[in-house]
Amino acid sequence: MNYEKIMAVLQKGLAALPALIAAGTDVMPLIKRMQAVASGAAVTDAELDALEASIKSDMDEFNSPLPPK
Amino acid sequence: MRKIILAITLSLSLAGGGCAPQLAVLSAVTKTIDNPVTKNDLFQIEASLKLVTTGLKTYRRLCLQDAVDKNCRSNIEAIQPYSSQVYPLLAELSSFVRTNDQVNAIVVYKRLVNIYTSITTEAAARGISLGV
Repeated sequence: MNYEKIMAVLQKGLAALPALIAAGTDVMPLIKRMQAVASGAAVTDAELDALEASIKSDMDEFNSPLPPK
Repeated sequence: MRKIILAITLSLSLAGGGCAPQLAVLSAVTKTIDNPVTKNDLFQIEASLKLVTTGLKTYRRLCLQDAVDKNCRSNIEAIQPYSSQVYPLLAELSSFVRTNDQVNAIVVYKRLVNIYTSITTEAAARGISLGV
């Protein structure tokens, strides 16, 4: 795992935070958690389950056929 | 409106490196056969993907409200063949990591990276800045 590269990406994410929040997306808790995990915090199965369910929900919505205009 | 477009661009770029808001971290996590995929690695990949999928979902919602670029419907349809592969691959990767099947985990990991590259390439060709 290349933590230097991950931290560089995290920095990008932090720089984009104001714009994301302005769009109604609060990604701060997730980014803080990513920082903690990058520093060695343990990850639980429940945490992974929740993330996977959330990603599935997002992708199900994005991938569904577009309604007629 | 400008703020919304900026937010989408940033969130997508966060995912890709940014649009892959999340896929960005994914692209940064270059594994070799000798480098096992741990649960912590899986979390970073999933968290990165979550940032990307949040950006994509927001783009679609704004598209349906006519609040983003006029080509958004065709942009979404062009990305869907790739994005539809994201979750099935992620579920496979998760299963392999949790059972410590490292050989298959690394194979699936590489396929996820390829899908990520396809999404960002398709987006770039359509003028969507993913920040990668």
